[in-house]
Amino acid sequence: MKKNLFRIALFSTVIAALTLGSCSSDDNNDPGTNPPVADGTRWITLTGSFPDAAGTAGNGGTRAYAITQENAANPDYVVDLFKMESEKYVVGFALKSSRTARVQASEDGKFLYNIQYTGTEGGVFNKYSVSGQGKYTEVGYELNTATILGTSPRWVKAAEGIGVGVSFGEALDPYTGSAPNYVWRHPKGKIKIANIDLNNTAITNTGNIDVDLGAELEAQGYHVWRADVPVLNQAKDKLYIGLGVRRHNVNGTVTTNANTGAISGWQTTNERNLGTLTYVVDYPSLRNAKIITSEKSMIDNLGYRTLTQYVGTDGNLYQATATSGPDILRISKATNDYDQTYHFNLNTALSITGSSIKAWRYIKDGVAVVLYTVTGTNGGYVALIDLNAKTATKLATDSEADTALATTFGQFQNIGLVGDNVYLPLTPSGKDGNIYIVNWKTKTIKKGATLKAASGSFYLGAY
Amino acid sequence: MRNLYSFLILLILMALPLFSQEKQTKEKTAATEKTKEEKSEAETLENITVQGTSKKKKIETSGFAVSIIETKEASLRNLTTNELLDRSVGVRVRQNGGIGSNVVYNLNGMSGSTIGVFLNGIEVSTYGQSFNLNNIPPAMIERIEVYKGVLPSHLTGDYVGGAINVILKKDVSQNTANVSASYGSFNTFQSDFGVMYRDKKTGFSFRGSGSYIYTDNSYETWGHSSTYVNEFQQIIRNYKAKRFNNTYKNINGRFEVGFTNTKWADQFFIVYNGSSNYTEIPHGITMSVPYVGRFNEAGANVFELNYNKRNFLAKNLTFNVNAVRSERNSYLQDTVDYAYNWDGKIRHIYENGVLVKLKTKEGGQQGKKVITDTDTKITNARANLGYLITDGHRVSLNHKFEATNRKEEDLLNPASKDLATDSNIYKNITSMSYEAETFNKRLKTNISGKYTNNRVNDLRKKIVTIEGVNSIVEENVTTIDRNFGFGGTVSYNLIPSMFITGSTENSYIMPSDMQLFGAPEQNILPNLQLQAEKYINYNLGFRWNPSDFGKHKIAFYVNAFWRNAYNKITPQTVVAADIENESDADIQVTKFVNLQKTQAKGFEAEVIYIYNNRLNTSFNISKFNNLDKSDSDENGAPNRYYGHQVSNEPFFTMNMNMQYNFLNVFQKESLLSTYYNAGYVGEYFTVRGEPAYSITPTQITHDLGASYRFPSKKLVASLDVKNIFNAEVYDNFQIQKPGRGIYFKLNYTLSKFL
Repeated sequence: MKKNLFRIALFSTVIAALTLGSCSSDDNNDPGTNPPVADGTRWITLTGSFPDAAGTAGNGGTRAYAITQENAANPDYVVDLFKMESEKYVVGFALKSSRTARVQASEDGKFLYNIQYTGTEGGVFNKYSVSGQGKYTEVGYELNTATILGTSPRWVKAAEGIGVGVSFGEALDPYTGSAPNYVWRHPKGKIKIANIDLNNTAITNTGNIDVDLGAELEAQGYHVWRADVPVLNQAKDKLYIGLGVRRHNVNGTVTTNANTGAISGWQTTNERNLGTLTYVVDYPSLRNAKIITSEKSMIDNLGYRTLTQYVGTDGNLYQATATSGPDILRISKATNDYDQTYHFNLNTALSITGSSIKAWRYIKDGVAVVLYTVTGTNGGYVALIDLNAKTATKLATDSEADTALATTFGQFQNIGLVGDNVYLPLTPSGKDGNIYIVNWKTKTIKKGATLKAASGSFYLGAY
Repeated sequence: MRNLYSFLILLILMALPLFSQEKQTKEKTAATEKTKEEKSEAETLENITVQGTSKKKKIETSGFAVSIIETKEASLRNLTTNELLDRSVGVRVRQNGGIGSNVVYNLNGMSGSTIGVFLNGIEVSTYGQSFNLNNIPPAMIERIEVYKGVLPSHLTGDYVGGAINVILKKDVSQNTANVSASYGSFNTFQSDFGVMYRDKKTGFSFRGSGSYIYTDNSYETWGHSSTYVNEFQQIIRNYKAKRFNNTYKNINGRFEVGFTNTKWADQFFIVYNGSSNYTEIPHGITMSVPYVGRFNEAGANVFELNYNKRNFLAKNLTFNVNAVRSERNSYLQDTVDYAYNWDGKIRHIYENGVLVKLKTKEGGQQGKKVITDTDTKITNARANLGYLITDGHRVSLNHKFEATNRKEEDLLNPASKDLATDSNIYKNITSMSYEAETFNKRLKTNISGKYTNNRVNDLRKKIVTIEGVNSIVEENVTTIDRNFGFGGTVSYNLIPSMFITGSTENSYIMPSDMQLFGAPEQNILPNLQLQAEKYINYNLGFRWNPSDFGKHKIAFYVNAFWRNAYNKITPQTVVAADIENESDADIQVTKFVNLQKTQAKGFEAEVIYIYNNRLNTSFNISKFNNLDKSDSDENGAPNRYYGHQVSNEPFFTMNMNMQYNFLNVFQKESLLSTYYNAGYVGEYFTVRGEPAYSITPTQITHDLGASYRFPSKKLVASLDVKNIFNAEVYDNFQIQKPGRGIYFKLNYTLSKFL
């Protein structure tokens, strides 16, 4: 009975969400499903991942541990997340996920959200309340997202209290006919979208986009292969979805597995004369899909494990061509299209070449922190950037020249932000490191708590 | 389907002459004729001068770490061959659900391709999915030999973890016919028959046997992985569900015609073995999503030639050949595009604000829509030549040849296979062994060596474009792998009935066909990068054979093992690279990968106590540590998990079996046997680092049974209750196995019918 009442309540939020649009965001923190947290401590959760059975670093699973801001600022404070006694991890909490968990958190750090990535329960959404150290409690409902998003889902917190997952699939075989004269066919495909109510733990709406790049681009072999990082605009009425685009050589032929001869696809070409693409759909109805194209970059916006687009203080959306490009693009809040006059280039701002943004976070008033790597240079670097002035200041860390930091950056998930402080756990894969605390107002970086790593293990997020 | 029909027709055709023959032959032979010791492949290796010892004892004291499972009792009960194996020492049968589901055998921590499963010394896979330990009833089986670690040379193959060798009934000394039928829980019907006939004058012999299984496997599940998903996609756990889309049907028959105990042959048989299977696949590697309409049909037509002769050409020379030609087919279909709940109904979801039926992500139940048809042709032959140099010294030479050709057709998109490589795989294994019995026959030693040659002939096709014109270029590629292995066993008879046994082996094994190329019907992806495994194994055991103390009889066996595996092949849930196309990444499939080094140390033990031939109890235990012994991780840093238990493997099992016989209950001359079995599997973790959520808890099951033999000795009725306390049991990835089941069986034996 209780469940039924809840369902009715939930269904009315679905209706409300669809009819009232952005107004529904006021329903956040419904006390019915979020148990109150005992004290007002702002816990900072640190997550770290360990290797899988085959020895691949960071691929085995994720552990979490919550510390206070005081602990975080104290270089003598040690977090030993990967400590083992006998064969058991004894510090922190194991987030459910066979592989690296895809963790997001509420703004106040009180809740973690995760969708398990592969494993026996791949695609299952879990919500945890944070009560300090290893005390995490599963709250709300587990959600089955796999049927829509697959068991290795792409999802992020699209706005406070709202998660969105996307998945590209149902691509056609890129050929017709038979050997040896196979004929190229555009693979089309579909993007599935799921809106996740993070407060009530429910999938409240889903939608589909039949991918359509237009006859002209499609005839040239351009096609979508991935959808990623769905983020809402300030008004919460438009959803922006990053797209991965590849190009087939339409005059080529099929590609095959060298051993089995099974057809694996169609020959591709790296020739690209097409800007960054983003799908825009109405939220929460998930209708009226439209593609917008940047004239400022030709690199895709794909987050893989991290969030790559943020709504700025000015209400515009800032999108990095992460995780392989140096650009930050702007989508105007007025037109919901790319602002073709705006372009931030990390290379220009730092007067270097070959930088690529691996993770970043918009802080406030156009200031953001960026984790980046540089082609031909070992290690991973931190910079504070000003999106308005288009300047960047590199901030030095002890481990920046360590090759293994690049591995960590490749899997980095989240940069923590509390007040004026940015929290960056930096541990090269398999090596100890520290939390670095960046004060964006004073533009200073200082070393905080010591983070102990272990072989094949490293820290990859602060929340 | 067409396999089923053709097989049925063949069955009728083969059965007809049998019945007509019965009428013609009026002469009633007194079937008391002793056919001396019938020969089987296993036996030819053994010294025929050993007298008065049972086959079980002879093999068990040969030096190998081996146990023999006799099927006589079980064949009268409602037991499957897999259940029988699971109760024996050191054997763990891990099954994905009920009857007919995918099975992995684990012998003291060794599993997968390291374990050979043989039927009369020929890999059982040769007979296809439709004739294996899932569906061969114990009634067709003479005995099962389970070798741990080192194998005798007549079973050499690419196996180092041990082998299960099923010896089908060979005896034709008595003209008998038997038939049985059983019905029980989950709408399970099983029946089998067997006929043996031998013409005393000519030695003409016929054996026929077959079985039929039908089950819905409609058992209830209620564990953590048994779920209901509502329209908000919220998961309700511990949902009481009844399994559906889980029907399993199997029919098989084996017909052997030949001569026994003639001048020119001890046994000469031509055999037809036909089988057909229909298996519904209820879910993937986990139970998280139920499948509807995914099914597999398999069938196999197998012809065999068996010949063996002692004193072949020369005195003390034994010759034995077993050649098999198999043509098997496997058909897989998965085209239903709605997502289902465990209540059997279609799931719903809000799509653009409207509640609609939920479609699956890729159009099929497991992934994309699939219809494939795979034909496999296998020739598998084993020949053995043994020579008794002088009493107690014997040499033998074995050769095994196996050729495999596999063709897969994609019926939804035939053009996708236009460029498929045509592979022919040839395996040649030559082995030699020398057995000696010295020190007044108290010391038995056996040394053996084997040479393996694997050749793959690929005809690869490629599209080449010249001046805008495409053409297919074919290229022959041959790859050859060779390796040499050796081993030895020793057994010492301390005092009567007490033996010390030891064995060692150093050998390589190549990845199997299935590990390399995958098996879509079993949700296994290909991995062509697999390397050969290398093994160095040691066994040391002690065996005390049944000794009499008045009415009490006790037997004891213990074996310790130490196994080192390099590049161990292990199944792994698929982890498609992040940057690859998303549709490739799906947990519901596995593939096989190499682990650097693992080491297993442990022991198994068994105690048997018999009282007055009325009470028969046995207890067995197996415990081992299967440890990750890789020195370094991918970056060359020391491996943190060195010495840790390999996850997701049960490593502590115990079984207890009890039988008590009552005489003259209800009727004089009757025999009532009662049975009790308890099984224990210790807890283990599925994820590294032992997080609480990944625990597979300790499992204990209890089974009860009784069988009643009527005074005529022709009719036996038995009743079995399995898992009487309806315990929640799992083998793999939280796939719940059947709860309580009740089965009733009738057996009828007609002996001396001619």
